[in-house]
Amino acid sequence: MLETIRARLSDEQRVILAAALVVLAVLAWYSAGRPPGEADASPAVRPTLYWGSRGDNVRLVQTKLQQWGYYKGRVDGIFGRLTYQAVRFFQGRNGLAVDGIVGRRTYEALGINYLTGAAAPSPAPGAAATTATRGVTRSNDERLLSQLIRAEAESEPYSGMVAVAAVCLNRVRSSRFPNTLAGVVYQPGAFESVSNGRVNLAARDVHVRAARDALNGWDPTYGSLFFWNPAKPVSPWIWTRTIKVRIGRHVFGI
Amino acid sequence: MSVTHEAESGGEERNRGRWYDRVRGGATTIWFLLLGLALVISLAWGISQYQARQAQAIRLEMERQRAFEQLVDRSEAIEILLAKGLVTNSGCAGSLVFTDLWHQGLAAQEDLADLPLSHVAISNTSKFVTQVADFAHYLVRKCSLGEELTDADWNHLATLHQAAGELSIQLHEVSRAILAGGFRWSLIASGQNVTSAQRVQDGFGDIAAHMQDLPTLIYDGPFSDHIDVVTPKGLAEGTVTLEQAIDIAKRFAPSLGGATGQDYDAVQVGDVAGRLSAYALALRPLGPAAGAPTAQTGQAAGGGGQTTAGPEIRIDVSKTGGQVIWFLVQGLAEPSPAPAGPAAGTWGSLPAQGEESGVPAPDAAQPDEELRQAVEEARRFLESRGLRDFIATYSAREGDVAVCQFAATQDGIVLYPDLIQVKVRVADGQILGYDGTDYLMSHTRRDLPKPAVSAAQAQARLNPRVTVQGQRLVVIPTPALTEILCREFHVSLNGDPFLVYINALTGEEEAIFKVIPSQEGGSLVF
Repeated sequence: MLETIRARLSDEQRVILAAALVVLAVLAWYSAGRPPGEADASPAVRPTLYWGSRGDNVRLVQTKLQQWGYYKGRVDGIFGRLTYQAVRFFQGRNGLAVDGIVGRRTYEALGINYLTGAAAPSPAPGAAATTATRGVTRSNDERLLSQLIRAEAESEPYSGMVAVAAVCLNRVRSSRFPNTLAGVVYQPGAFESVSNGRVNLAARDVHVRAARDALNGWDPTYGSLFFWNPAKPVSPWIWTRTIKVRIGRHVFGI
Repeated sequence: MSVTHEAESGGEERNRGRWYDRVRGGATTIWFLLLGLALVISLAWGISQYQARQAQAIRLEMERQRAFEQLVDRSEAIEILLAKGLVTNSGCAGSLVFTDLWHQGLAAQEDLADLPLSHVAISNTSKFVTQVADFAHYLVRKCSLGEELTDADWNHLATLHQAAGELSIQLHEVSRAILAGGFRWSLIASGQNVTSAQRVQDGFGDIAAHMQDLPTLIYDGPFSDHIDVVTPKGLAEGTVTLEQAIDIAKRFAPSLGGATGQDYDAVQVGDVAGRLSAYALALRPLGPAAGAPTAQTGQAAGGGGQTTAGPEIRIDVSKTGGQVIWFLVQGLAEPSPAPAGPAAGTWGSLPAQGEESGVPAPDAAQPDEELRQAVEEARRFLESRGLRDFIATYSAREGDVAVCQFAATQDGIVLYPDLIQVKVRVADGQILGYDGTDYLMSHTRRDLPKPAVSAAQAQARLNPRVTVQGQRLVVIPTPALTEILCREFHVSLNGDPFLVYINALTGEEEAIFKVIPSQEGGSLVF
């Protein structure tokens, strides 16, 4: 079939057809940003609802839609035509993809908790049940520091890497700088590698080790708050700092 | 495609015909159309990109303006609250005023840090608002304990109030400069020298200059000025020369790769200035461990920069007293892969308290054998270097390395400010690091009072919901670098471990720490 098409078209027509196909492909690519179909329900989340679904979740959705005036039918737990239309109406009004299917985003827009929370039963009142503290880890600080080390001190000796991380931690403790690690690292203009995005590169093993040593207290800079490379152009103000020590290519000062 | 200009009416007909023919006929048309299409698409893309960029620039500008306006609001609030603080007679109302002040100070500092100004412009102001917050926090504690504000406190408040007024006025000036027109925060961020940007920067410069003139503020808090001027207490007498320091370093350094009686090639790589002045040295082992293959541990990836192949010990020796401050081993070859399988954490070994405690010592948690051995190695290393009578406190394992913490003791009382840390490789017990900075800064023979609160009395001060698993006497540091004698209780709430510190003289609850058993072994304390 292709052969006959090719034979019938003249040169220009073939080029027009090719161009049209290219344009269509480009347009299709741009419009393909729509979210994929909602995932199937895993045990702890509510199931996707569509025309034909039944159950308590349908009932809940119908109740909500009725309260807000989208659904005019009976709240019977059966996803039929009226429910479908109401869902579409709701989705259109709320900036969702209008497909008549109740997935995660529609649940959330309706104000229904997507997670059914069947995990832990809430403790009975008066029974002093508490859960262990579970959400605390130092890995965030480690990751941020190690990425900063990689971005700022990649080719420095190991003690130089620990020193750069120690400067960050000293800044957190100082009253002249933000009081959180993220505040110090992301402070506008503080680190060049943050301004140019280099800090987002993943760190390697050696950088993580250096970050850990700094977090555990090793400070080859003895409390320094600044570091700079004397061989590069820096603001003259920084030379007014008291220099503590020089490690590798960097000079550290307070 | 060329258009021929021939004579008007009659020729036009012919022109149109010719041109029309070309359009119908040629492949050139196709190219014309395609190029036109490409141009249109490019223009559309360019315009959409420009619009997106403009939207982002505007949003960033709004964020920064929000931060500035919040800063102005907060500086006003700080001034008012300081004024109220001058008038309050402590007690509950005072506590609320200072709590608010604490919050406003910290938030003002965050807003200040959001502005794209240089460090020089905001450093003094940042210090001011942080100290206001910190001082307020200290006053909240006082109020909650029912203590009266001293004259010194009141005078501090008066000074801060005056400075806060200045800050507020100056910020309003800057605000006027911004509203005068033509200003965008992005001008400052990109360093352009436009008049409006210059005016705003000058405004902040004035503020910084004003803040410079504030007297030093000394009080009981982590940001008080006295923190910056600490002199080390644990250094021995006398100064050492470079040769002596090298000798000390060689004797202190750990043997690498199991070699004993090792000799090193030492070189000075730097000089540390300041109160804890030191020689910065690097030791390279001679003999069998020399020339060990450069490994990923501790070496810059790809071996770039200043490092050379082979293991190296980077070690600092103090000029006063000739003591090793810290060392780190880098570039050591990996041993055979460390065995997997971390287990639960350990609780540091407690000295037997005897009849003093009235509470049974805690059971040893399920021992993580490897971690325990690592701690033993660390202790053996310390004793062989003349550091005895230390007690292991917390250790944590991260990957193949264990960091073991030791505290000095005095008459069986654990001295937490005098800390030493040793880094040990779990697989073979190789010592990889040592940090004695805290020990050298704080260790002295202390004149400790006798505890006025017995263990049983202290235990009665604990929250009745917790189960107590152990108790001992300790000295803890405060954020303001003072020290308190306390009874340390190891407690748990439904299996969740904590440390609670009860003041051994007043019975007040001084601090609470959360013990987080680490997934890999050992525990972290927050």
